[in-house]
Amino acid sequence: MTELVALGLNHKSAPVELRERLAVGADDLGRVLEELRRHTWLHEVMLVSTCNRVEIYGVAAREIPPAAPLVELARLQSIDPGALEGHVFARTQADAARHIFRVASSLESMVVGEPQILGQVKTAYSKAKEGGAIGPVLDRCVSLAIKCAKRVRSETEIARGSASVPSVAVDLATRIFGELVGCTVLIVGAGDMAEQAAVHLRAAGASELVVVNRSTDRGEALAQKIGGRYEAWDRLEAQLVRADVVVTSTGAKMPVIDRSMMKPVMKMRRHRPLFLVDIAVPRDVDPAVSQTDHVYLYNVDDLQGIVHDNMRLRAGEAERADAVVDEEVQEFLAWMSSRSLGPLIAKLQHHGNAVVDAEIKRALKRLPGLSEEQRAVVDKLGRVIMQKLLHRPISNLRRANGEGVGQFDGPALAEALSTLFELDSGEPTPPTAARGDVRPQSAAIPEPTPVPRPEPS
Amino acid sequence: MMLLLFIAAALAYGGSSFAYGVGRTRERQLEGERHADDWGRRLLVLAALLHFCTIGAQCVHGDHPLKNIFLATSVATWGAVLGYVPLARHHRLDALGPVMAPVGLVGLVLGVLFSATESGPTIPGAPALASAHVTLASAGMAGFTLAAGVSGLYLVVERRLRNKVFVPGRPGMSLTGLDRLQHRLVLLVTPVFTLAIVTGVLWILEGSGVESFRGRLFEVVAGLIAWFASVSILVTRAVWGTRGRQSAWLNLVAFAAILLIVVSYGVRS
Repeated sequence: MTELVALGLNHKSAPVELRERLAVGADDLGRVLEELRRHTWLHEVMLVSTCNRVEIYGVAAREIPPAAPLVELARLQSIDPGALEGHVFARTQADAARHIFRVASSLESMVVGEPQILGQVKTAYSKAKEGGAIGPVLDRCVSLAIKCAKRVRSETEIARGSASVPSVAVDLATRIFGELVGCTVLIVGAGDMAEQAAVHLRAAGASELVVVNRSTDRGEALAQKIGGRYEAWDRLEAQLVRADVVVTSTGAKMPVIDRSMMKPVMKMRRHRPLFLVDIAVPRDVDPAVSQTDHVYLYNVDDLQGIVHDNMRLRAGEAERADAVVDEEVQEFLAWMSSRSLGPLIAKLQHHGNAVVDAEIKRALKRLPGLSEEQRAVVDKLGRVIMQKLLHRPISNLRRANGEGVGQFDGPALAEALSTLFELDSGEPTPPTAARGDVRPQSAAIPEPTPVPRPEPS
Repeated sequence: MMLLLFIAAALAYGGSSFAYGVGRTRERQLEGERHADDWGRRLLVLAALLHFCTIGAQCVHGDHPLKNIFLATSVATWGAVLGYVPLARHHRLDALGPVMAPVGLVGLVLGVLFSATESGPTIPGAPALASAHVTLASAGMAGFTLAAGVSGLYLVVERRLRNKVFVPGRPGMSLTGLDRLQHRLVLLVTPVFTLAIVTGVLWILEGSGVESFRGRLFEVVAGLIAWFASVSILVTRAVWGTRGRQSAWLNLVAFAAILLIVVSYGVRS
C-alpha cells in the first residue's frame, strides 16, 4: 500500500532556534535526501527547508512510524531527537496531500499569501528530482500542488496588497511615481526600519540612495550597507530638494522636518511631488507638512493601517483559497485511488485467465479431432467471454473511485470484488485514500527504526 | 442603413458603459473586473468604428460635420473616444472608460437626432475658413474632453492619496503618470485650439465683420477663457513648475468653457 506522508516542523510548531538547527542548506540537500531514502521506508522524498519550515514530504510502500524520517534528519543534523519532542507534526494520505497543497499555496505561511514559498517548493522539488528522489506519486502530488498554488493566486486575492511596512512604503511610492527607476531615496536617520525600507525601495528600482544622519559613523556604515552615499546632517535641506522619496527614522525628540522648511524646498523642487515616510516614534516630520501641496506624508500608523487592511483582505480570501485547495486535493486523491486499483484489476484478470486456461484445456481434451485452426477458435471464444464478463465490473470499479456507483464507493466495491473472487491471497488490497493525522503535534518522538533498503544490484 | 449603424453603435457604446460599470462595482473580484474592463474596451473600439461609419453614412446623405454644431460634436466625441483607446492601453486608464463610453454615446445621439437642424444664422465668408475652423474646433474639443477626463481622474487619485483612502489590494494609478499625460494632452490640444480660434476670427472678419462678434459675445468670451486656461497650464508649468491639482483644475475650467460654447451653439440652432 502506498503511503503519502508530510512531516516536519514549522513556525507554528517550533521556535526559530530549533528550526534553524534542523534546517538543511542547499549544498547538503542531495546528501540528506539520499540518506533519508537509505535509512527510512521512504522511496520517494523531498525536503522543503526555509526559514519558517523544515518539512519532509515522502512516499512509503507501507505504513511507517510517523516520526522516523524526522529522527533520521535530526541524526544527520547532529541534533538530539528528543529536542524535537512536542514540536513536530506528521500527516498521512489525504491530510498530507492537503498540507502540501496548502503550503505551496501559501496558506500555511506566516504571512498568508506571500509569494516566496511557491518558489521554494519548486526549488525543493527540482532538487529532489535531480537526485532521483521523486517518483510518480510525489511528482503528481507536487505538480498538482504547484498548479493549485497558481490557481489560488489567480482566482483569489490572497496575494493582493503589501503585507509589511516597508513593502507598503514601496507600494505607495509606486502609486505616486509609477516606476521607481530614476527615483532618489533619502534616508534620514539610521534606524532598522529605514534600512529595510531602503532595501525594498532599491529592489523596486530606486536609482540613488542617500543617507543623512547626525552621527557620521553610523550614517556612513548604513550608506555602505545599502549601497548608497552619506551626506552630512547640515545638507538635509539640499537633499530634500533632490529626493523623491524620504524615509525618516531618527531618534529625535522634536520634528526634524517642519512646514517652514518644506515651503522653500517645494519651491526649489518646482513642485515635483515628494513622498515622506515617517517611521520614527516620536515623529520626525511635523504633521502640518502634509498640508503642503504635492507633499504626501505617511507615518508608521498610516502604513500599519494599510498593512492591517491588506492582511484582513487576505484572511477573508483564505476561505476561497481553501475551496480551490479542496478541489485540487480531490483530484489528486482520485488519481491516487485509481492508481491503487491496478494490482486488484491485474489479480482479477489473472484469475479470469487461469479459469479460462483450465476450462479450455479440459474442453480440448474432450475434442481430440480438432484442427489447429479450430483449437484457436475455441481458445479465443473462452478469452472473449472472459473479457466481456469482466469488462463491466472493471469499468464500474474505476468509475466508483471517482464518483461512486449506486450506494458503493471505490474502496467498498474493491473490497467486495476481492471477497467475491477470493483475490486476497496475501497481496495488498486497494487502500482508502483518506486517513487522518497519525498523531497530534505534541506526540512524543519514538526511537528511530532504521530500515535499510536493499542496494540496487 | 444609417439607422442600423446608429442602433449598433449606440448598443456598443451602451454595452461598453455597462461592462466598464460592472468592472468598477466588483471591488473584490479582480479577475472579473479585468474581464469586464477588457470587454468594455473591446466594445468601445467597436462602438468607435460603428460611430465612424454612422458619420460616414450621414456625410453621404449630406449631413456633414460642418453643417451644424451637433454633427461637429458627434465628430469631436468620436475623436475623444478614438484617442482614449490607445491611451488606455498604455496608461492604465480603464477608470476613465465609464466616462468615455457615455460621452461617445451622447455625441452619437446628438449627431444623429439633430442632424437635420440648421446651424442658425450663417456667416458669409470663405468656406475653406469655415471648414478649417469647424475641423480644428472639433479636434480641440476631442482633445479637451480627453484631457479633462485625465484631470478628473488625477484629482480623484490625488485626493485618495492625500486622505489615505485605499481599496485594499487594488493597485493604484501613478499620480505622476496622470499629471504627465494631462500635460502632454494640453500640449497637443492648445495649438490646435489656438488655430481654431484664429480661423474662426478670420472667418467672421471675412464675412460680416467686427459687428458680428457682438452677437457671439458669449462664445467669444468662453473661447477666450478656455484658451487662457490651457495656455496658463503650459506657461506656469514652464516658468514655475506648476503642476498637479492646479493644472487639473485649469484643465477642467477649459473643458467647461468649451462645453458652454457647444451648449450655446446648440441652444441657438
